[in-house]
Amino acid sequence: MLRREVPAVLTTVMAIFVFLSAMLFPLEEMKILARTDSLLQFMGNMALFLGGINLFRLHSRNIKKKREYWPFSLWLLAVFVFFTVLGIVKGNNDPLYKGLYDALIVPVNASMHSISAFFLCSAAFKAFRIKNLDSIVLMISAVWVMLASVPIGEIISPNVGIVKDWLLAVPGSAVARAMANGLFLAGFAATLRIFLGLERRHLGQ
Amino acid sequence: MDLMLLAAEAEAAVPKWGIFVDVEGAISGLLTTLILTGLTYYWITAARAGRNIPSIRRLPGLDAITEAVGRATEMGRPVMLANRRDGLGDVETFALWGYLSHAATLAAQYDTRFINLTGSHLVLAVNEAVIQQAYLEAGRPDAFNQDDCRYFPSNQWPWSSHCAGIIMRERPAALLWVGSWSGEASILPEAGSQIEAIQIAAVTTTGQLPFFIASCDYVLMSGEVYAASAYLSKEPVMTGTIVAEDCAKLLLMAIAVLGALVEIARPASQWMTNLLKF
Amino acid sequence: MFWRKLLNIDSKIIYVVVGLALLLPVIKPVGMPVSISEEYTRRFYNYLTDIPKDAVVFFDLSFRETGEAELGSSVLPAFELLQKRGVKIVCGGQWQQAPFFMQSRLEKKAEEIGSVYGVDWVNIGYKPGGTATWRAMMEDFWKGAAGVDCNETKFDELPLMDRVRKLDKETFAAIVIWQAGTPGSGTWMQYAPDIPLLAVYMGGIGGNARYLRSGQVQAMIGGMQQAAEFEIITDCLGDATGLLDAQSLAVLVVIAFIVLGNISWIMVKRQDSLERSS
Repeated sequence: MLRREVPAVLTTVMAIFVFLSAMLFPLEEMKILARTDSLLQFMGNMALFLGGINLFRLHSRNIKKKREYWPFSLWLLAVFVFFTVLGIVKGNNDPLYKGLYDALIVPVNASMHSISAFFLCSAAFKAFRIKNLDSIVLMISAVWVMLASVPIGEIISPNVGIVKDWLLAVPGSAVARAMANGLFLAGFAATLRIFLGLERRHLGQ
Repeated sequence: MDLMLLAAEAEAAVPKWGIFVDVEGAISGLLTTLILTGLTYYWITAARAGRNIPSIRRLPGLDAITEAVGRATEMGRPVMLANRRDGLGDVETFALWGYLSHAATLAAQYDTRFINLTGSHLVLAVNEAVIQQAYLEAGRPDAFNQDDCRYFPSNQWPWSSHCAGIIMRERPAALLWVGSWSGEASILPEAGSQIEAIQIAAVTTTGQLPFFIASCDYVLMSGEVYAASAYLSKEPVMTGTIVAEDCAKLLLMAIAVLGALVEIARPASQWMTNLLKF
Repeated sequence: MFWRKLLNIDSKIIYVVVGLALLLPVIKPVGMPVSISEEYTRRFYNYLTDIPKDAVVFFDLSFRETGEAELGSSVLPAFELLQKRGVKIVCGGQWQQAPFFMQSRLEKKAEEIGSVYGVDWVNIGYKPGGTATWRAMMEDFWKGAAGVDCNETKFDELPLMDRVRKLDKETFAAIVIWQAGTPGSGTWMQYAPDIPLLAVYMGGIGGNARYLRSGQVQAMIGGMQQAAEFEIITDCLGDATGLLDAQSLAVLVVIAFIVLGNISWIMVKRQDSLERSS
């Protein structure tokens, strides 16, 4: 009962309340949503601690059992503890914290992101095949938009950019809107299933 | 400063129609919600009463999960399902649990290792329960391995390198990408194709679809992603919600066509725009 | 056979070619001509220059380090353009990274143009809690933002913040968002539809063009090309203009590989069918 029914009832009651609060003036005036928002902020911050504990638990177990690649777990925990202590003691405006951030996190993240240029090219080489009319149209428009997104397009012809803008604004927008509407309605149906208690996997059913 | 506060208090908000908030789309939004809820209620009731309701068309991407798990079993390699950024309150996560439960049950039945990676520790807790339940239902509770339910903080590129690392080290034969994705979509499916895994993606972010389409074997998109639970459960009541969704789509199309015609015929009136904003 | 070899080319060779295409123009720039897009860049620039003096604009820096070249490059010109015209700026972000690492760059720029922190501009930093936080700031900016800026200076020590009591259209003349993904402009479209929104997208405008036509976004630019155009129009040359040559050559390489991939695929298919028939 506590594990199944209570969460289901709470979900339904809160869903009705939040929905009506966004629509009905008397409920909005009570500013209850602003209070629940503060609770959400609090929960979000508490989640950071729980995440840290979970990370610690998992990697301590890796080290303890000397599993494969356990030195990486050790390294992760060492960096995790170092940055947490530094952030708490000195604050994130400390020159050491900022310096490490700029010297380590920024280039590492940028490197990871830059890999996408290489992977994209190899994926395009392997996957972009003109198998039928659809794929021909897709490839021509993709190449056109790519060319128009860099100065070469302009060098070829000033019309390249005009066609690209039209492709994005008319057919591109139409498809994006259709997808967005489909997603919204499907999301709404899924929400209703949760709301009506038909979808209960999150309660272990 | 006091003057400003007094001025703010003096400008008391005025309700629309006495009870609605004065925000664009408040009343039309309420009406839309009521219509959609009514449609869903009608089709669920019809399904419960045993009346004939339309069935869901075949979704090859969902059927392929069985094939992918089977292939992983033959190759003696694991199955992996990953989701990075969807949190406990996101509707994508509820869809995720449908895929997770189905794939984990198949993996348990076929005695294949199942790895799950998420970027939310709160989702991880539920994922563990869903996978454990799947192993229990498959009659193999002893095969459940908690260490294969993994969490890594959802920061985009560290998560992606961690995920790519797992792909290269564990070499799963089947990869399932579920939920909403960002720029990492340009890397991860390609990493999967490098180890020649069967890849199935159920993606809700339209902008990242091209990357999955380029590298994955099957891609479920837009509304299909959320239909998984209903499709996999084969329960008529669940199917009823999908039928209601399609009825709403038809209604939306009719409104779009009508709105376009009216705006063309009487562009100055803007009455359809105003109606929807009301 | 050559075409079969090409079709099965090792990915590492592709990586080397792409790497060279990206590297060579950085070492030896070509300086390709850039023309200004009327639909996007000019409109974006004009909107910013039409914002009245002494109005307050919110800069939502929602990206991380990876977006620094493409997105960060237009933050400083926009900052300079508005500050020089006497428009006040409050910066913040839905992503934790950009408000943090852009602070030193903004400070440098402010010093250069004589803007005073706390009077002409303020950076409230990243505020965790997602949409709940922004909604709270719409009710009470000080309370929702925990009453401190990114350096933990209290709002009551920053004169500009006296004018910023609510995140609403009375306080802010516009919101300018630099977004690399989600959360992004959706937050403002959903919760603050009445505040004019300007957007800078990473990787190009793509499917976001629809928001311009629907009026949900007043002006937008996207990708490296338009970032460079914005640098040129504001006479504030930086990363985007410098890196455009590299992107141009990389695009040519991608197109060349797509064409080569298709030719080799067709040739191999033809040869296979000839072998089968013989």
